[in-house]
Amino acid sequence: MTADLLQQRYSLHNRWTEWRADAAQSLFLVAVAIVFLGLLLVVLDPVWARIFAPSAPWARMRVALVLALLLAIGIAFTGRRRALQLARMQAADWLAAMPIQPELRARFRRQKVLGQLALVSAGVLALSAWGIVRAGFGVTAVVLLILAGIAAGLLLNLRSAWVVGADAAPSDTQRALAAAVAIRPGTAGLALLGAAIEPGLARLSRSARWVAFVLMLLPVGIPLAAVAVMVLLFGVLGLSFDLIRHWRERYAIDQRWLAAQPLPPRRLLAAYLPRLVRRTLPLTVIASACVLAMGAPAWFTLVVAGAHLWLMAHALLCSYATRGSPRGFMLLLALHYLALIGSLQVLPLALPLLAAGCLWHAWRRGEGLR
Amino acid sequence: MSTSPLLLVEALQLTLGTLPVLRGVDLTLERGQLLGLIGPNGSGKTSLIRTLTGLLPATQGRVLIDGVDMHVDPLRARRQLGFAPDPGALPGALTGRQCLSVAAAARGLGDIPADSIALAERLGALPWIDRRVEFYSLGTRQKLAILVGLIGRPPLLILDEVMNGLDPISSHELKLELVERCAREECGVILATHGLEIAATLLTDAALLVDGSIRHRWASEELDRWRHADPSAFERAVVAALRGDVGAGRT
Repeated sequence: MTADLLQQRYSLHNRWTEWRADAAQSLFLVAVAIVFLGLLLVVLDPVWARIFAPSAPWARMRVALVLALLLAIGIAFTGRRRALQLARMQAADWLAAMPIQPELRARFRRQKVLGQLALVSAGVLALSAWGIVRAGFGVTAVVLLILAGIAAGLLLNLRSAWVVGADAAPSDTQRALAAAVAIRPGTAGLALLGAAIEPGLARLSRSARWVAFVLMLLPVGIPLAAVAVMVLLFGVLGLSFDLIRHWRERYAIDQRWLAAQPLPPRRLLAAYLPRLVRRTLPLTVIASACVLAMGAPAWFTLVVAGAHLWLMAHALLCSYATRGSPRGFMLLLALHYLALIGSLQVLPLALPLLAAGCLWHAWRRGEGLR
Repeated sequence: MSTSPLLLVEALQLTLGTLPVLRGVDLTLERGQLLGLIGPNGSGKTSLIRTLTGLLPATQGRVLIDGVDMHVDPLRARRQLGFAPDPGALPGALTGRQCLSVAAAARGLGDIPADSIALAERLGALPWIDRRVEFYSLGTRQKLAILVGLIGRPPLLILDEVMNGLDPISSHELKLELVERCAREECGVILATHGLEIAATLLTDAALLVDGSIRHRWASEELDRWRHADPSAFERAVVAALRGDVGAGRT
């Protein structure tokens, strides 16, 4: 067995042992995941008939062909991008100076990328199959065409020259973006922590996949102006997601190196707030403007703005609440979302109160941590 | 056995971006030699080591390990090379034994060699070997990195600041191990270090790297003479060489 495969096997084995050692928490996580999945299925079930109706705009053969082509290209480039990331990691990891044949390391990269892509594709396949069954097999041929696109993308990743030839050297663009994180002269004290958060521009490449995904979903015949607005809206949401993710990375790093300092946790959290607010507000304004431009009434625009700000604040406070065990972040987020979705189904009027309660709960939990 | 030196470095240059880091390094090392690579912070020691191990591509010049060019045939060159990785780069999710098993697989060995386990015991790493690396202290991580570098008894050992974090017993045991391997002419060692005191007991040769080039090399006879006459003479010689260099830089 090659060194990379052996390392992966050991790592999986250790994780499995860890899960078994904490059976109660593992079972709870699995239960939450199943409830989420169940909820998703319940929400999706009545929609399938509309999505997979033969009269749906995307169900025309020519449109489906374009969609399949886009999927094939998207999967192929995602694979190459992932292979490049892995190649860079391997070029600097602890085995980099070991006498391992480059072909073996490249084969491991290819297998790993293919495995991940195949897993996602299998999920898409299962969802599509279920949708077709529920909708009555009206668009089977079109769906098969789209699945052929997925298969073509995967096959392209099987070609060694595509992923094995990936160059491990960082590109000039990445160097330029890395250099773009400049801290203004004169910035001092804890404000330096907030100043180290990358500008949105550096995350555009990561947010681009959201925009590409939205482009693929847009029905034919939609006016060009609306396409632009949708792309802008989802670009903004992608940037919001990446902003929080990036901040969480920085927060974890800063927490580690400042752990021994007599710094109250709430002061550390407050250090990032001015910069985060300054980066979030334009995103909220643009998202609201997009919604308004699409013809939504003013009250709905305000709801969207409020929801965007709530999502950002909630993610921030949940990170604060789970700073001692970052793995609990997703769990807390999921529990709160589950409660909100439940409230939306049963008692929509209580939603604002519950939303505020979630923020309060996360804050109190964060304050209670020592 | 090959007649070429164990390590031959010729006119090695490295530029990172627009910054010249190595400016024509020439170096030779034979089996049995334990060369100390000394230099101030930022002089290029780690960059030189990363270039010797093929982790950074040289801009010009060449590195031959037992006659094999690192640039032309890195796989064959690396079979002759043992390199202790950065302790921070060791995989936290694996245990020490699993790391050694992966390193053994990378070297084409069937299982962890018995002498690696014996060395782990001498370094005091054995009680930790079945625990996950993420729970290790800096010193224990360092011991594991050393064990990874020395696994399979490669003829050329390249060690960067490996004495950092080691307790007195493991530091002593590591020195003994390196001296024994060199005395048997089993290998040659390059040891980048700031600890000049080890020159008095350990090194057979020393090279001073300043501003990306070798400014001075002390041969074994010179070190031997100081070792017997005045153990602190080497430290004074290094400081004098460095001060002289700074002075030359000012004029």
